[in-house]
This record gives sequence, structure tokens and C-alpha cells, in this order.
Amino acid sequence: MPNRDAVFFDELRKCRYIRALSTTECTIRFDIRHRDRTVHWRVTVNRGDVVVSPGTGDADGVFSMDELSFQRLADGETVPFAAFLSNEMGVQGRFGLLAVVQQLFHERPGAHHPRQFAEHDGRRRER
Amino acid sequence: MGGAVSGKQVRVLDGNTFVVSADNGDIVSSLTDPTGLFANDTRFLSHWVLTVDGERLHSLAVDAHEHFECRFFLVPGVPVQYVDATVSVIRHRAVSQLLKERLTVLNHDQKPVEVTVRLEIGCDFADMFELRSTETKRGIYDTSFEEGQLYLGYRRERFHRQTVIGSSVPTQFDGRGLSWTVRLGPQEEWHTDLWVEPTVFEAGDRRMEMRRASGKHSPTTADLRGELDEWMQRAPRLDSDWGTLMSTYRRSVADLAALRFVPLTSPGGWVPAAGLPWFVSIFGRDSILTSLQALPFFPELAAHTLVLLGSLQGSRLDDFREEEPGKILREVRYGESAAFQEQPHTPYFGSADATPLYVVLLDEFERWTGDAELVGRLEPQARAALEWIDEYGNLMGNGYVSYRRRNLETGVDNQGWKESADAISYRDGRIPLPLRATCELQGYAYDAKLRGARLARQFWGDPGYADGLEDQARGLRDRFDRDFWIEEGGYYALALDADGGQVDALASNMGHLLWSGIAQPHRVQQVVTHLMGPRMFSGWGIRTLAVGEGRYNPVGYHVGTVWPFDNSFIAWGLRSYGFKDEAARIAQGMLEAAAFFQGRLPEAFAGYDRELTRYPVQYPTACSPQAWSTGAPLLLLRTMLGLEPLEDRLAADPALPGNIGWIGLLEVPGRWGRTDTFGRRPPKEGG
Repeated sequence: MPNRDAVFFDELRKCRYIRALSTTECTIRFDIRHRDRTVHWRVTVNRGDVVVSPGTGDADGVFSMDELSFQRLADGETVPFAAFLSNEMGVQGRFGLLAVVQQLFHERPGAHHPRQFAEHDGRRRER
Repeated sequence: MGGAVSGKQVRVLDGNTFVVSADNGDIVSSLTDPTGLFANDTRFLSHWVLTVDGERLHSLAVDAHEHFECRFFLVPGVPVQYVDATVSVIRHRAVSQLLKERLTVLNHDQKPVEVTVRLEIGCDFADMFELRSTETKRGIYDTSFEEGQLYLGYRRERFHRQTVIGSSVPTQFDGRGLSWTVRLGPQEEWHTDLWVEPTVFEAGDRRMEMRRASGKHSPTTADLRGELDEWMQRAPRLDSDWGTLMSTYRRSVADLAALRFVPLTSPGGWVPAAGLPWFVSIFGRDSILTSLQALPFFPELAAHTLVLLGSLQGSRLDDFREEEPGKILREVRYGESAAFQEQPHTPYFGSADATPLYVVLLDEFERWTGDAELVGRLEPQARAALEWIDEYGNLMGNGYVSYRRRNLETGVDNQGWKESADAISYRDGRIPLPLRATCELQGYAYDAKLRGARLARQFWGDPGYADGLEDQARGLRDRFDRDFWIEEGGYYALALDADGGQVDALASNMGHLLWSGIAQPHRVQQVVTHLMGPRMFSGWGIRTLAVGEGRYNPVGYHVGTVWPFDNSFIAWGLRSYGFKDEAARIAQGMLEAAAFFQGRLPEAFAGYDRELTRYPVQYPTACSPQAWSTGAPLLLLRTMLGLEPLEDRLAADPALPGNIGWIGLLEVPGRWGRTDTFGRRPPKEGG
């Protein structure tokens, strides 16, 4: 079975364009510590176009964490901003790229469109 | 006065590092009391008590000249009828990224003396959000004393904060504090320099470098003075025959400098912290409104705000953070509760007004500065914000921006600027169900669409999109008039409830319909009659809620107090509909109130009639300085002078209140470079 990070970056590679990053140009590297090795992924953002490749190399910002922390990010259980504050994730290089990394991850499990929440769940749970 | 002396508290700050202490310089805190040394939403000192021979010190005077420093003049003991101290103490405190304090002990006697000077020290590393609740800390504390420095630490998993304390005169730590035995000859003095460094550790337990808004990394007090002088020099120069206006202006400009900070995650520039002590962080709404107020004075503030908030714009759905694609954040925090997701501030998006206001600010910024490059660069963010209005802001599917929190544990009830739980009510005091569309949100959405249309047509090369936005704006204005106008009362409803019914309390929110332009011109006279009538206008300014409404309370946070920022925007709106005299009356009331606070308008003051108290009573826990109160005199100046960018020149149409003869505002920055503007009150008829 492929690693969680391999699955995540494969999905990211397929999405290819992120509108929220359409004015961003940067290269970000993820260094993910597995039990026996560290795996490196590079994400290059060129005005919204996203290119993903495995391997080391120069980057404007390097984000490092262990496998478990990455999985929590990939599953939407936490966000890079919180992972950074709790020191689950290290940042080297441009701190401002944290905002870019924040855009790469999935929505939180069970998240609602606010209209859907207002129509159903909200009225039921809090009146 | 630069540092703030509020009641018996003294506040000294530099951006998001600040100290709140008693007037003798001591810090004695509890979990509910916002005193201490704070940085990045964490308290780095919670106990800091000075004694001489075991006696606490009594304050004779506090000299708080600039925001970053103050001096406490102290004597031991409690003076009864007269002070007969042979020894006195001066604490000279300065804050930049660290707290520096020079303790000076003076012997006034003809004989030598020996005294024990002692400083008791403690730190609870409380998160800002623990100050108001009593949840116990989950981490582990440690204390060590090595090579003359005291290290107080706190760890929870990999989260690590530390306070490092040192003294220029060697000392020893006895488990609870530091002490020095001081021997002084007749008329001699002794001093030691103390430093207290709040330290944040990043992953790998590396000390994190903090950035400052300007200048050096570790500035001396002289550097800080130089930075402030440079900032003051850059501000437009104000001249007037009314001294209060001049001193209030100087105070506002200096306080804006004091509140500047560079957030940990900023792509570059500084933004103002929202307010001391509770809101020393990035707040979307506060940054945007302060930027609007300060545009004619410091347009770079708007640029920094737009870039920072744009970089953190929402991109996905998240109920805990109330995030949606295109949404502009409400708040960012850096403390323990944010790190461990006990609070949603990473970032928290629970505000319904920041997103349309983002587009408003971008357009207004271009009108003043002509910075087409930034408008082009932020096109995706602005479009996403405009799409948010219709897709995610329109909760009821009725075309109105409304809100309803999805984070039921730690989210904010009301997501306009009046956030407290009782802020939105019917006339009889009932609170509507949680799904609410407040009136000012519709005004902001209307304004955002029209301004977005101008940007699309002139800068994004998309006239089709512009036409669509204008059509939507027209439709919104018509529907708004039909659904919000209360015919029998002659005013706009505060909100629509979940069933589309009118939430009919008379509130200051409708004042924001003027500067946004959604109010129909034929309705405005009636609106103004309410705003300036005795139920709403206190003599100082317009109350948040009218006297006589079910929930009116002159000391209720959003239900009767007077907010300077609210008044500044209402006055601006009054001018835009031609109500010059009313705008001037508000400006006069606000600025006269400022005189009671040495030019520093607090967040809010009580809604008592001016005739009753003759003194603007500060709201008990009001923040001060607070960014948008600091900005209020700036927008009032713009309003009194009637300043508007008109293509490449600055147009002025002054309308001054009766107590001001003339105002000159020189070197106003904008797309014209810098230009001077003047206003003079016309001589009275027949006089």
C-alpha cells in the first residue's frame, strides 16, 4: 500500500491548478520523516499551476514533520498553521509560505456548506 | 502621555509585546486579570513585585511619555499624611521585543544606608483565552538559574515558551525571586539594568526570531524614539486653531505607530494590532476599517492589510474555523489554545463583514493611491471575495448576507462588528434565532459589488462581470428597501431573522447604510432624524442602541455604549448624503470626548446623556489604545474637510463644527503625490 503522503501528493499533482494561489510563485519542499527514512516532496507553484515532484532540491520554504503529523494534515484533522504553532511542523525559509501551504490541504472532515448547515443541522442543534 | 495610564493600570507596548502593570510597576495577576508581560498571545510574566527591605512600593508619580517607555517614581511603604522617605526608587521601563527595566535606588539621607532590594518573579504562561476562564494548564513548568540568568519555562508536548531574566548587577535566585544588598553613602544612588525576554521556540527547539514593524531587531530606547520621530515626520502635518484637535491627532498618529506589528506568518508588512489588552493580534475587520480611516494619512497600512488578509483568505470548508472559500479571516492567534485547536484561531473566519469590506478597501485604496499594480495582483482574491458574498454569505438563499455559526462550542454568536450575544434584538428585547442578516452587512455587500464592478471594468478588463455586479447591486438595493424599511418607525430594521421577519430594534447599524450608499435618498432624512435625535445621540456621539429599546443599557457593550469608530463611519456616511452639519456635530462631540482621555479615544464609552455626566465615562473593560478608535479622529478629519480623491487631485469641501475656526492638513499623500488642504468656517451671517 502506498504511503499516505504519496497518495496526498499524487492527488495534488492531479489537481494541477489552485485558484487561490494564482498570484503565487514559489517552491515548497516537504520533508516527511518516516520510521526508517525521510521522504522529500517538492511543490512548485507558478501562478496557480502546481507541479509536484519527489526528491530534494532548493526551495523557498521547507516544511518538515513526522509521518503521523503529515497524516493529520492530509486528513484535514489539523491545519499547517496549528501544526506550526504546536511545533508538530518545522518551517525553514520564508514564514509567509505557511499561508500557501495552508491552501494545499483538504477540508476538515464533516465540514458543511454554511447554507446546508443553516437549513438542516443548525436549526436542529441550536435554536 | 504616551504609555497608557488607565485607572491604576499602566500599559507600555511595542506592537504585540506589551506590559500591563499597577501604577507602581508591579505585576500581580490572577487568571482573570489582564496584567503581565504579554507577547504572541501568551503571558510571559505574571508576577513581578519589587520590595525594599520587605516593603512594597508606593507610586508618587508615573511618567509615561511615549508608548514604549515609562518611569515610576516610588517610595517604600504606604504614605500616611506625608512622605518622609530617606530612600526612593525609580523604575524606568521600556518595551520592544523584550522588557527592559532600570531600577535606581536613591539615598536622600546624610547617613549611609543598607537596604535589601528584592524582586519576586513568577510566570504562569497563560494563554490570552485562559485569562477569562480558569481551565488549568496541561503542560509542565521548569525553572533554572544558570550563569546569572533566570529561565522560566513551559512545555506541552513540543510547544515550548520561555522567559529569560537577567540583571547587570550580579544576583542570586532563591527559588522565588532575585535580591540585591545595596549599600549607599549619603546622597548616593545605585542601579541595575534588568531584561526580560519572552522566547518562543519553534520546531527542533530553536529560538524563533521575531520581526519588528520597523528598524532594528533589538532596538535601544534611543532607536525606538528615532523610529517614532521618523513615523511622526511622515504623517501629514495638521494645523488648527483648536488645540484639542492637534493633540488628539498627534496621539492618534503615535498610537498607530505603537500598535504596528509584523505577524509571525506575514508575507511582509506590518499591520496594526486591534487593541490592548484583549485583542493584540490580527483582526480582519479591525485592520480593514482602520486602514480605511487612515487612508489619507498612511495608505501603506491598507496595502499591508490587503496583502496579508489576501494571503490568508479561506480556501476550503471547515466548520471549526468557520472557513469557506473566498472568506476573509476574523482573527489569528499564536497562543497555546490555538496551537492545540482548543480555540479555532488558526485562522478563525467567523465574521460576515470582513469579506465584502475587503473589496471596499481595495477599491478605496486605488482611488486614493492610483496603485493599479496591487489591484491587478489581488484580482483573484477580490473575485473570490465577491463570489463568497453570493455563494457562502447568502445563507438563506434570499440574496442577503447572513450568518449563523457552525462552531457551536467556541465560535462567535454574532458575526458583524457587534459580536456580543445580546447585540441583535427585537425592540421588546427578544433575541432572534441564530440565523441573522444584519442591515449593515447588506450595505457592505452592495458597496462591494459596485466597487468590484469599477475594478473589473477599469483594471481587470472584464466589463461583462462589471455589468453583472452592477445589476446585482441595483437588485439588492431595491429588495433591501422593501424588506428592511420599517414604515411606521421610519428607519431600517437592525436585521432580518431566520424567517425573513424584521428584527426591529433601533440601532446604530443603520448608520453604516450611509457610507455604503445602500440607503435610498428619500429615506435618509428620516434615518438622520433618528440618529441625531435624543434617543440615539448622547451629546458625545451616537449610541449603539437607542434609549427605550428593550435591551438598552448605557454600559452594555454593544447595547447602549458609544463607539468612536462607529461614529466616525456614520459621520462619513452623513457627509456622503449631504448632511454636513450633522457630521460636524458628531466630529465635535467625539473630539471633545477625546480631550477627557488625553486625546486617546477608548474602544467605547457609556451611553449616558452628556448633560447628565458632563464626562464621557469609559466602558469598564474597554481596550485602549485600540486601532479603530485611534483611526476615528483621522476619518473625522477627512469628513470635516470633505476630502475625496477626484481623479488625480484631492478635492476638499470643508464643513467645520462651530468650535473650529480653521484646519490645515498639509502634505496629504495620494495619487497626486503630496498636497495641502485647508478648511475655514465661513463667518456667521450678519456677523
